[in-house]
Amino acid sequence: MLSQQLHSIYSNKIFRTSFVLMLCFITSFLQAQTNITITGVVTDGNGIAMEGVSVKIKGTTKASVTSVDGKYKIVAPSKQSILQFSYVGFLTQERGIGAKPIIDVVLRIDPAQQEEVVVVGYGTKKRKELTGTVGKANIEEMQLAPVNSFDQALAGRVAGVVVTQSDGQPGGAASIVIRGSSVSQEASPLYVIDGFAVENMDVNSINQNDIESFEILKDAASIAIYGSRGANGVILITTKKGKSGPPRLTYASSYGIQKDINRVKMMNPYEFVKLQLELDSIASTPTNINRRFAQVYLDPAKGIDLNYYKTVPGYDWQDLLLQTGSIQTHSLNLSGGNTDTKYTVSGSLFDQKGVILNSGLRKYDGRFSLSQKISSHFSTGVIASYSNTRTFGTVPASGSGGVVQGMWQYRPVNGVRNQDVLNSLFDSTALEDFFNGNATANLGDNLINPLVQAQNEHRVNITNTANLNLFVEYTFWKKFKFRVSGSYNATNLKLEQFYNSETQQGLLFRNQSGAIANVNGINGFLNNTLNENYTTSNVLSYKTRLKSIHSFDVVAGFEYQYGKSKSSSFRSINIPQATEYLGIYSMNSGTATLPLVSATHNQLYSFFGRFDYGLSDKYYLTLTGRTDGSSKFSVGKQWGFFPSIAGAWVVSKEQFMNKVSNIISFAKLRASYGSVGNNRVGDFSYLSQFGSLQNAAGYAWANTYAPGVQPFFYGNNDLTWETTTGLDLGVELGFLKDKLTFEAVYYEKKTKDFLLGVRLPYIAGYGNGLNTQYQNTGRVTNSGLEFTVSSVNLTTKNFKWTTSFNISFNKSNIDEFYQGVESIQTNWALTGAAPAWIAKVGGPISQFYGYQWGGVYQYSDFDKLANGTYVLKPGVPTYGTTTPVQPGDPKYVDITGDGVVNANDQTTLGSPLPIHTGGFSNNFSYKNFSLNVFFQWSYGNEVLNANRIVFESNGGYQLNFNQFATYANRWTPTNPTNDIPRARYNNRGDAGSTNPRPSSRVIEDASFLRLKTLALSYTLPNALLKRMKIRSVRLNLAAQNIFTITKYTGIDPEVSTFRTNNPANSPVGGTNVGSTTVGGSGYTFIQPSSGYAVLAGGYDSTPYPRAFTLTFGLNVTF
Amino acid sequence: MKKLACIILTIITFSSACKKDISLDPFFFEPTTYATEPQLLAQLAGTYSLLNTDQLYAQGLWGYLEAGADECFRNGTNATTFQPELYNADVNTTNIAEYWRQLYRGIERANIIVDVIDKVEMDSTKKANMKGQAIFLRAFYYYLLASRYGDVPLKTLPTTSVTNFNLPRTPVKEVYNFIIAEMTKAEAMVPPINRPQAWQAAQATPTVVNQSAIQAILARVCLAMAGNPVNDVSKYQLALTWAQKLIATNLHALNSTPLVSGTPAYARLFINNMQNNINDPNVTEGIWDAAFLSKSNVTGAFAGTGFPVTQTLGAIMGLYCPDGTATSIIGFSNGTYRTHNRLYRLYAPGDLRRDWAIAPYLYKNATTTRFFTLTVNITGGGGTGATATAYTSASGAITSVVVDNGGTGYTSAPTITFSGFATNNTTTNVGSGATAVAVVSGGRITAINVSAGGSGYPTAYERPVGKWRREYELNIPSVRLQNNTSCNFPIVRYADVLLMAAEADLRVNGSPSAVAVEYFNQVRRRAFGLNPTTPSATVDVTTFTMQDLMDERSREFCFEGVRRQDLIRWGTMPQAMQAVLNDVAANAPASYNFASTFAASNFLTNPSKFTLFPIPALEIAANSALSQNLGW
Repeated sequence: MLSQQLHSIYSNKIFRTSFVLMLCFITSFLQAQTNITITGVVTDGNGIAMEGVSVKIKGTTKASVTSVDGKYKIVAPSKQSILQFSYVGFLTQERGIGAKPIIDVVLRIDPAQQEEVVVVGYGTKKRKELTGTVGKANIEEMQLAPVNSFDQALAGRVAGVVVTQSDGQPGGAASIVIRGSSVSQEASPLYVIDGFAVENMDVNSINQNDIESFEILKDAASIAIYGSRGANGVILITTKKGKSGPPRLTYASSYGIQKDINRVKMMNPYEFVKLQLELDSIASTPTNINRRFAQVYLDPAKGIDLNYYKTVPGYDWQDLLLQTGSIQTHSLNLSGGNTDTKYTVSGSLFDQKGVILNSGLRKYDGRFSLSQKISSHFSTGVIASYSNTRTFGTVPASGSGGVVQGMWQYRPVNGVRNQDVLNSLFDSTALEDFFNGNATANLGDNLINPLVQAQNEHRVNITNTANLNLFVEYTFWKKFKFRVSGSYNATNLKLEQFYNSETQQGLLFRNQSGAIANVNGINGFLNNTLNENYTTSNVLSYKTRLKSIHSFDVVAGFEYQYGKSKSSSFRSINIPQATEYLGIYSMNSGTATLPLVSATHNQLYSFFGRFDYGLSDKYYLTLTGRTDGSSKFSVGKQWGFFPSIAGAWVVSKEQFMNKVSNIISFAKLRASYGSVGNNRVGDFSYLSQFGSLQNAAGYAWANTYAPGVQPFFYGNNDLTWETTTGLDLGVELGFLKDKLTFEAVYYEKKTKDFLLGVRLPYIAGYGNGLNTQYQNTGRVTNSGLEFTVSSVNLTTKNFKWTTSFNISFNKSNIDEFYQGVESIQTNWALTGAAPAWIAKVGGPISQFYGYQWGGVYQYSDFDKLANGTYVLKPGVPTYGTTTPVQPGDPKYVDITGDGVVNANDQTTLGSPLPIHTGGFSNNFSYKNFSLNVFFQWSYGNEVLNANRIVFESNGGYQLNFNQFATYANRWTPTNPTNDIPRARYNNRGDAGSTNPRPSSRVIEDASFLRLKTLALSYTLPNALLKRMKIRSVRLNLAAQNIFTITKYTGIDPEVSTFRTNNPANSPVGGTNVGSTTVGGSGYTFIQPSSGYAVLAGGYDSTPYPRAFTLTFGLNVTF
Repeated sequence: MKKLACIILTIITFSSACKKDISLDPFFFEPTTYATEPQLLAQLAGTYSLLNTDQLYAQGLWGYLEAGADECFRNGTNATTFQPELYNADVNTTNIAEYWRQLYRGIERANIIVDVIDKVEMDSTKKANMKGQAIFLRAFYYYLLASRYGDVPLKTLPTTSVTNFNLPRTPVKEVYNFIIAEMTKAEAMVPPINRPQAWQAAQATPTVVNQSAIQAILARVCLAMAGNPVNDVSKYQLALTWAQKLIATNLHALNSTPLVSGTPAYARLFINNMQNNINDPNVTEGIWDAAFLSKSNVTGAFAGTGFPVTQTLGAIMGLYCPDGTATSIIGFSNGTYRTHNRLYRLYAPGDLRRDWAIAPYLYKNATTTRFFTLTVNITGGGGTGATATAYTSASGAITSVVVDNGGTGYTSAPTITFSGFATNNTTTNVGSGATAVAVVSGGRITAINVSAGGSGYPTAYERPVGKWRREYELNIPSVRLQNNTSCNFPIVRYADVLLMAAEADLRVNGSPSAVAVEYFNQVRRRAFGLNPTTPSATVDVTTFTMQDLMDERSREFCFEGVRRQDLIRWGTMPQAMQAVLNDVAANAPASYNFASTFAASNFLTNPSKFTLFPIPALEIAANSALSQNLGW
């Protein structure tokens, strides 16, 4: 019935249209004819010639089109004729002819047509018709920031999007969390680039300046069209395409400097030597005076005593290792086209010298796009891009081996033994311990000169990304479009590491008795990974408006995606020193070990559809559904259906709003509800896996080694989609003709069955590192509020001031872990792997966990015995170990009140998750000048400053280490401070453990407000340029990370350096009997890309220093 | 419009029809379903491989987990040394958690074999043998758990779903019953030792689980169950039965001839261990060894260069030698494990085991020159062959000299002098001022009387454990690593079976039967260099008490990782540790005071707590069904 009705209307309309056309034809035929030839140029508001403008004699069929230089020529039948100039997006103009043979026209942009258009999944929508929540980043503003990839400029731009750079490493990716994450280890959003989903997005592969629009789908209703992969949010990136018009060539270039924004003050030579001597006395007993350090630093014969070091300048290793970095970019973009053909060609070069010696980033990229209309029914297009990124230099690993740790801890002063600390590879004092057998064969981790280390370390990551998208679009029955597209995306990652004899990883040192500190000798490592993605997408869409009140927009499609990853690597060890000068190529002469060839793949079948209905431009309804089938789950769990519903009501269109329409120009209420999924687990996480790698688990029966097999990873047949069901309520208001707009959104996301690698009890007997199994683990709720305000504050002829502001609040709550689990702990990466984070039912997804700092044990806590020893007074809590607590030891709160501080006294100590985050941007323009001032903040988050565990904890953590300057105020008998415990000769760790433990002492408020970007640009006046035949010239001065207001005592509050151990530092295969190093065992699983662990945020351990950047740039368009 | 509807309908139909299986096959990892015999064999190798892990026989079970008894101590220990053997570990101690973990890994690997093997098509004898080995290893790993942790979760099925991860602890008695039942079952499935088994290796040697191994371990398990904490005394009879079953096979005997001249027959087994020599035709004493290998037959890689099948016996626990170079002749050891004076004095004169188990010499440099820690030099007097041992006081004064061998042909009193070298890094002879006079009677030296004790002579505390000596290593890699050897470890050997039989017999009968006395005497005769099976008037005893047996076990098996478990099952651990304190107070030089008493004094703060390991905190965190041991 319905279809019949529709059909009749449709036929009627055709009838009416043809009737009107016929009438027109007849009338024009009857007109008198005088034939006047008229010529002219059509330009836009900027004086640029417009091609393809339709010029028509009103009321006739006579028409012409402007040429490339905007010129047209038309023959008018009479002086009374009226010329009609029209162009999509511009106001149509009518001009009477009169006697003028030349009519030049300037077309004005049609504000109505200019209505903001937002890219949504498989289509676009007018912002005012949106039923869901789509955040549109102001990409033009982001492009002003002097950074190499969009993620570095995104923080604070869009409400509900929290972007955290792990540190300042060139090329280091940021974590982007949209509206809070689930507990799954992978929280990064799904990227959709020009319509194609990319799960393992390399943010460096796309040039920020090639981006045309940047949208973030936030609510379930908007995401549902991406079904199973969208639960973390979806980022839609549309790249710039050619526009019809004359060709434009743009050259942009910038050059700038970088400087680290903050440094830690280390102890000076005097304080350092004082500490070393204090360690001597701590290690002494009345009968046995320890002079280990006195021998190194004092020479009474030459009158060198402690005071001598007040005058010694010492070495500032931070000064030696940190340099003024530089960044430069050059890019060229050519675009153009006409109504049928459009193209762009662009290329760019980015070069960054990092602030740490011998580190940086170099990137080349190129992009080409072409679209061609073949006929009124067919059009086709291609986008191809390629990028090559090379990042190099040290990675400041947590725990060990990094030059950042080195530049803090390395000995600042020579001492009296004629060691040239600056130029020798080792710290001789440490070496002496090694000689004496005090140190293990490992020689200590960071007793290598960091300067020599940085100069010699060869670590290079090369990423080549290629993308090819093709589409053919067929338009039929006028309103139907069928688009078939295919995409191929390949990312080739190459990793090169080479450690010569002048590095910690490759040193050839042997101690006096010949022990080898490094069994691998000079060594190198090569890895080659190729990730490929094939996608085909077939989308049918239908768009119409009936009786001018019903609007329909229907999309349906089928998509197939296949992803494959192949990887091969090997290590070459014990490379002869004679060939080390060849660098990575000397690997030929070493012994090849640990060959690893692996591969994995996955596929995804999807069927999706969306139905949009609008009634009278007031009421909107969207229904979306997607069915996804993923090979990542076992049979029966593979398919999931993700539906959503959304509606909006444009209140301002209602009659009752007319009275206030001059104040409230726009008002909309919207609501959406739907579910989306997340499948970010390994391709075969559902399968149990046995490992049988060489030497892995074999046994020597009768002296013949039989290779063995071990159950390695325990699968889970029940593994299935993580599902997020979200409710989203929003209000949009526009005031004073939309000069002030306001958007507020409340959301509640309930995620169930989140995917997590759960540590099984050891009795499960599996072999992988933490004995994990992927499980659907529990339920979590994220809810929050987002506010976005933008305003045009002032507009005069020469001056304009606009502001945008956003703030978002997110609160997460773990509702349940399955299997009755109450909490999940995550260990930090320092020695001892203590739990430092906890995810607990009833709490946010991540909290710090450890001991509550209770100050320092003071003399008043003790009874002094006759033999001079101190014994704790009854009732004062102790650690409950056999080694008694002494004055000056760290004190922790005995929460259980049982008199003993032990594992039971650990508690939650704050959260790395912020209460609110946001951004505040102001744009000023005066004549040809414009200025952008952008602030970003984060409030209420805490950071575990693990550096203080190492550098401000107790001097015995490792002897010979320098400490933060604050450590000079440690507890001593004469300085009974409550802030920093006493120095110890051999670290006993904390709370009775052999290892350091997290405590509230080092957990700090890391709220900050940062002037993130300041960009000033000047556009040269048109008059001047016209003569030079240049379209536009803009000069830019841009600065990034200008200043930060924070209470945080570390070098930067925006930090999240939780990394798994630096594989380069793990002796592959393990030097210890029975040890297996995950990095070297060969059991490498290809997991979703992300260096960031949701459960272990806010961790500050030897970060790469963040840089202040100042660049000067030039942008010329011909 | 109809067409549109058609298209949409088609898509919907298509999508609902497409709930099909879209799985892909993995490229590169093993399936967990077994189809072939080679796969099963690899899994069996994987089950054995746990024996090589650090926490088991690569160090833990003879070192940091078990060495905290009254035989040896960790030299260099200070207040900040943390080791389970020092009784200052806690619930977070890595090695205690790892020990647990390794054993359950082994159990799971065995569970998988037992679960799947019946479905694999292969020769039935072979199948029974492999299954028997897996069943035994699983039970053995449970024994290693139950004896250290008490009640433990008993998981006998492969991990199949989330449901059997969170098992509670099964009472230790039930675990022992399971172990005995399983081992009994396995005993009938595996072949006797040295029966050719081409599928596994040239032949079943002590490196392969065999009938003897199972019988011997059954005797050990039964004794453990009969003693503390289960105290099921009925198991003494069972222990006796199993031990005697093994003895009755006549496949085994004590080594009675030396392998290397100048060493006692007692040393033969340990030298073979060091040389990975499992084909010595005279060796029938070895019953079950943890096999290590210095060179991979697969890759040719040598020990230490990332090759896991190495261990630290001979190095961490070994004869002091400071030469740690890659080309070291002797092989490095810093002599970490030093002997308690108590044990040193436990040996009677002429007992050849002492100077093998407790190194009488050390190396000072890269040469093969042996420097004797403390020697009584007997020169002149016209005779030969006399040897004597000097005992010292805490200050290094010679307190007494005992003649081990009177020698022959002495016509006058020889000159007695003393020389000694300590383990500090100088080659200077230490100690001075002692003088002594020998008494000669009948051509033999009958006594040596100390006339001045002097001072500064090396005490027994200078002597490291010498049972496994790197100087005998063969197949030395081109780069000799300081702390790695490939020494096999004797998990159980025939002497143990004899003494277990003797002990069980004594417990069952109240006093030892004649056979028990013979078992006991065989061990003693060999100790004094006599033929173990030929009665000896000088060495043989006519009966023995439990105390005699305890001392004999200590003399015979010191450092082999059995003493601590013996003391625990006998219930004498606190007394033994107290004896250490008393002994050290009387005899140890001040510099050894702390290191040699730290374990004992820590243990005595809470003996009942320290006889068991704590259940690892990590494990309790992951399995809330677990309870903790008392005191932890």
